Amino acid sequence: MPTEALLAVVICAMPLLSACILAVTRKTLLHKAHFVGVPLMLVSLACAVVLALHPHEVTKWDFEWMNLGGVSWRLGIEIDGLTRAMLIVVTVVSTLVHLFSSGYMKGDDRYSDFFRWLGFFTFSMLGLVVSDNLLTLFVFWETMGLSSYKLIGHYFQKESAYLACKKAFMTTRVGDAGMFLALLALFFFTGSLQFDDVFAKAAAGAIPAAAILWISLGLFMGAAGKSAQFPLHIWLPDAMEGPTPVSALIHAATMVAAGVYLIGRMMTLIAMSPEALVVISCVGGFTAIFAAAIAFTATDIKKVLAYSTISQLGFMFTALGVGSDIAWQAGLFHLVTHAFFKACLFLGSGSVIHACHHEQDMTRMGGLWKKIPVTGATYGFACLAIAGLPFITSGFWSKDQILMGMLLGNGGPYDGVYRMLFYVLALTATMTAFYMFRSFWLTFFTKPRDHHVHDHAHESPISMTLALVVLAGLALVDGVTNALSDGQGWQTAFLPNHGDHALARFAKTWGHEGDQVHHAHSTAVVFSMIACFGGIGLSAFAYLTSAGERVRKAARAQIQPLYDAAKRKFFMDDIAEAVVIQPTKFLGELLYQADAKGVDGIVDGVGAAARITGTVSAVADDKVVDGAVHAAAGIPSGGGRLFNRAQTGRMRNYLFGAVGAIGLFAVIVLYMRRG
Amino acid sequence: MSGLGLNHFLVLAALLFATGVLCVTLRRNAIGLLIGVELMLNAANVNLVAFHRWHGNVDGAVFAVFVIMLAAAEAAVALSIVLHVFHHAASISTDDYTEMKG
Repeated sequence: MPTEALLAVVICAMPLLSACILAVTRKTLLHKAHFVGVPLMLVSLACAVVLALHPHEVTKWDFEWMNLGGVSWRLGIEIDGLTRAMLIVVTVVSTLVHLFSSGYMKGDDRYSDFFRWLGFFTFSMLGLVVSDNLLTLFVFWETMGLSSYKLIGHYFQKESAYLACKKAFMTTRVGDAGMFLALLALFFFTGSLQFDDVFAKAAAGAIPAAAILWISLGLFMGAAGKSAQFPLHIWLPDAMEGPTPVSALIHAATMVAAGVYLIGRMMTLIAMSPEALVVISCVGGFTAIFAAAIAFTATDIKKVLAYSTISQLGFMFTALGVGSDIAWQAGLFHLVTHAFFKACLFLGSGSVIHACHHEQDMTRMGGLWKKIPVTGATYGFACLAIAGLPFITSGFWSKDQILMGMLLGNGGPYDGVYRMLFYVLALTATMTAFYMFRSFWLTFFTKPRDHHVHDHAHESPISMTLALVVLAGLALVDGVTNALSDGQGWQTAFLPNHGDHALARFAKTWGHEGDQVHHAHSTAVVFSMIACFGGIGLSAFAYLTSAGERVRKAARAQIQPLYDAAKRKFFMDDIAEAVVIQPTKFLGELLYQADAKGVDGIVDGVGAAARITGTVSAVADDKVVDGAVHAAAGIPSGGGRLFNRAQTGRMRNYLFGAVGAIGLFAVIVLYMRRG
Repeated sequence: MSGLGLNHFLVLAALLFATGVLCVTLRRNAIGLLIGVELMLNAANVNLVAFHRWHGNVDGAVFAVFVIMLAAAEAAVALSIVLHVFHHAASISTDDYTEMKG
């Protein structure tokens, strides 16, 4: 077993170990659970760093799990640049979330359970990214669904929380159905689920073109469920019912990343179908702008972040859907940068909520900057990162590369669509800057709107602020290293080595002339700068000045119906209720009615008819037949009394009879065969 | 090890099966009765696996897996029946449950 694989196993095993220890010491370690979780996560993080610093070669290790019907099932580990990057992201965010939770969840009744599921969740995500085959990937995919169910439903005493965890589980299951069908189809065509085998066989033409399209769409369906893409996004905002650290871990940095990771990993296959690519891009682009519009109207600080997450995931899918290596790298790069600053934002909102004694409504906050400066500063910096402040924030570089990738397209038949999506994303980026800063101004600046909340606000303990500072620092460091290396930061060290073979067959990105790339790059930079400064400026005008407030009110009055629609999440929950849930219930009701009226009616009719004929025949029976029967009955009743003895009602007598009879038959059969 | 042949397994299975039969026919405890059934099923399993090795193909092992699955399902159903009987008669001795008496 190569050292790299061993390291990967250790990385995965540490959180699992934490979960196991906490499972058997629930009572004894109740409020000290973080003494198990945090150190083990630090070990895992250290191993991930060592692995990332190792020479960047693709390491593979596998073993035969079983051999069934001539098919050899191999399970194993594959570590390439993408895996290394994901391992760093997951361990860093998870370690900081563990640390943050030790402050945030203090005194919770189910403190130990929380850390146990946190550990198990981290294990699932790590297992998913080191898998070298779709089978174990799918297994970890599902265990992750389970642990997110448990974590979202942490406060299961609340009705909204258990409804939310149920909704999250059921909605992602819809996507998983598509993914499962895709896996079956892949296995049918290639006879394997290992990435390398599948890609090699697909390249050799083992899968018909139409099947590639449907397999890709099936995989995307799974990814859309996990990564909350339209129309399967409805679970993510509700999942904010979970404790805030969980939102940071699951709904910002890791679980929703699994879908993006899956599409990124399978890009070699998906890129063979231009149609599948363009579908992925369009769904991503639509989700991005759709969720951004809803985020404008959210007043719950966590809901704003939830919709911004959906929107940013839309960015990633739009980029991945291009299928060129520049866009592929940009989409996954955005996944990494987004994980850090979104975790920072979520943990920051957790810190705000903690400071305000579990008040989440921004309309009751305001003026908290002086009260909680560290939280405010890190939240503000993360807002700058997601808005894409040029040069010093990581968000600028990844968003800029996505826009560039969109402009360049993939040289296939759908470049016009990608160019159109470029404008959609540029507009969405402006909206992102606006609504993120809206939440920033409403929370930390403007006049305090609730004096009770304001007066009692207090800065969070060091365990929580430390996590915030580290995450904001990562966003800054990533931005600065990119600025110093002209957009060639650490991510380029990780991603290209997979990129060259993930290159689409028809994509000719490397074939783009230097001038063309340069030109696209300049356009993208201009657009992302306009988006960033325009969005921040507009929101500052709208929320910090009195003139802006008048304009804002007037503008809102103009578009009241649109505003109301966005406020109600564009009726997506109602549509899901009307399109899926109600018809299911209606069908059930219909079948019940058919049963009650139709089938029962027939049965009742037959019964009534039988009763009439019965009455008629009873008369005849009584008089004529009975006489004969009574006479005849004497014989069997006598015999019956005789055999009655055998019916003891004792089970073992019957069993003995049955066994004895079988034995007798066996003897007869054997005897006849001999004869 | 070289002395261990097919026949040894068949004899073991036969003994297991006989134990199961006796268990089923003689025990009054409903749980004991179920254990007898499990013994018989597993006696069959031993045969299946033994023949799987003897013939050198996978069929026997596959059937053994099916039997294990069946046994699990059977145990689940049977235990719930026993539970109901226990609620009904406040006893799991089969002799206390003689409603089939003619």
